[in-house]
Order: sequence, then C-alpha cells, then structure tokens
Amino acid sequence: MIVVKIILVLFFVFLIVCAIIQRQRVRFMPWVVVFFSCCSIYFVLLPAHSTVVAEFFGVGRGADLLLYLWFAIGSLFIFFLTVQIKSLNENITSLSRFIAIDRAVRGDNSEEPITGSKQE
Amino acid sequence: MNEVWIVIAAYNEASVIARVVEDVRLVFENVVVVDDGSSDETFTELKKTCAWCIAHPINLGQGAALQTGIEFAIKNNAQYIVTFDADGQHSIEDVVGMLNLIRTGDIDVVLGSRFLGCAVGITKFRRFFLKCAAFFTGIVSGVWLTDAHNGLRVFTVNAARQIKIRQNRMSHASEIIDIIGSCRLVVKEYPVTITYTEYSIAKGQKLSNSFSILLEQLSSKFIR
Repeated sequence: MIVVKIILVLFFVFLIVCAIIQRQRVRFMPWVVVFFSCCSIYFVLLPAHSTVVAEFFGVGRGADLLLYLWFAIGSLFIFFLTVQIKSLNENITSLSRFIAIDRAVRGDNSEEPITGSKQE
Repeated sequence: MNEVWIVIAAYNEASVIARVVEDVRLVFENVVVVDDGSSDETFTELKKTCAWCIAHPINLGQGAALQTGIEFAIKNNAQYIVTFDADGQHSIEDVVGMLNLIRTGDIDVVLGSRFLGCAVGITKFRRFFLKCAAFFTGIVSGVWLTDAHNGLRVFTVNAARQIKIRQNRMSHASEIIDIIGSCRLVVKEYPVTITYTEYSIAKGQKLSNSFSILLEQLSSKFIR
C-alpha cells in the first residue's frame, strides 16, 4: 500500500512540476492542476480525510470523489486541447493558403505567362 | 464569361485533370485548380493546361482547397464563382445554365441537384443515403434542398465573400449550406446531370466516411 502511495505522490508532484513549467504558456489550467494535485497528495497521504470531504459532498468514499474530480479535469483538458488543436489547424491552413496563392502560376499552355495573383 | 471563375479542387487526379480542365476551358477562360498536396503527378499535368495552378504544400482537404480557389478568384475580380469537381462527373452545359439562372435576379447561390436532374449510374443505396443527408442538413441548417452534397455550385462574389469554409475536410458541403442558412442568402437549385463512372465512384466520398462527416458537422456547432 505504501508503494502505491509513493507512486501516486510522485506522479502528482511530477504533474505540479509540469504545470509550473508550463504556467507562462497557458494561463489558467496550470493553477487548476497544481491545486487539485496538492489536494490529491493530501488525500493520498490521509485517505480518511478524503472520506470526510466526500461524505460532505454526498459522494460516499474519498477514492470515488478523487476519481470523479480527475475525470472532470481530464475531460476539461481534452476539451481545451481540442480547441487548441483546431486553432493550430486553422493557422496551418491559413499559412498554407497564403503560400499557395503567392506561388500561383499559369499553366504552360497559357498565352499569358503571369506568375502570382494578378493583384499582388 | 470573363467575370466567371471556375474553381476545381484536385487531389491525386493526374489521370483526368488535364482533360477536365481543357473541357472547362472550351467555355470559360478563368479556371483555377488547387492541387491539394497530391502525391502523384497532378500538378505536373496541371501545368500542361491553361489553368491557373495553385498547390497546397500539404494535403489539407477538399474544403480548404475550395476556399483557397475561391479566395484566389475573389482577388482576381471574379463576379461569379463556380465550384466544379475534378473527377469529370459534372457537365459544363449545366454550369452555363446555372450562370444564366443566377444572372436573372436576386439570387446569391445556385446549387446543382442531381435529383431534380439526372444521376447516371448512381446506386439505389447512394441515392437513398444522399437523400437522408439532404434531410439531415435541412434539419441542422434550416435550408431544405433535394441535394445538399453536390459539388457543382455557383456563387455571386458577395455570397462567396460571406461563405468562408472552415471545415477543411468533407463536411464543408454541409458547412456551406449552414452558412447559406445563417447568412440568409437566396439559394435556388438547378437540375444537373451527374455521371458516375468507375473512376468517380472510386475517388468519391465513401459512404463509410459519413459517420465522421456527421461528427465533424455536429462538433462544428459547438467548437467554432
């Protein structure tokens, strides 16, 4: 049981370090991760306290409360990542489009050997 | 026909693209083909034609390729923009008819409909599936059409400016209808002939992709 506790604590410490390193790139989420990781370390070391909190919220067991919380945070992360990936894709599309239009050429059979957009 | 620009999105169409472009060029002077990062000789073949050739550095999808072509046409003072498939299943006579219709009055967009016209070689299953897709698009967008996923479309330049395709992949067809609905553009359908060949069926949208298109369309409602 002690081994599992050590692994879990190390994992949450690792999460805290990662979140602090990333704090300047992403504004809000790192501090959410730090807060919940600290709470998790506390509840891993003192599981009886988590049950008290869980009972206060009507969940039952402390382990269940942690599971639900991390599931919610994980879902939130996936949502933010999806939005960020979509935004990155849009940037890549805009950049590719700009390059493509800038390099537009008229086919070799054309009578007007113009390169690039007419207005550019 | 100088104010008309034909936009063709091509991906790995080396075997047919030159013939399709030359057929279009018999009637329309301004043709722009966007090679969407093809891995075959599409761009080489394209450069042998008289069309404007644009090459995406990477494969982005048909929606992105059409948007690139539309933006290029707008930059070059297009008044009417036509989207045309690269696999040769559309008829150039239909484009002329659609342009005559859009010039008659206050119409922003003319969409081709194979179900008002003729779909040569279509299977019963594909016909049923496309009708279901049109019904679903009608529910989502409020624009009721007989054929919502036809690649043959004519836009006025004002409509084209409003229609900014953000769905890079295949769900752009539904997105266009969505935008037509949300911008309250005046849309008319025109009966067209679509000729399915072995090549166009092999190149065309797989019915198995419909689930991912549906998901893309729904997710785009929540994440813009």
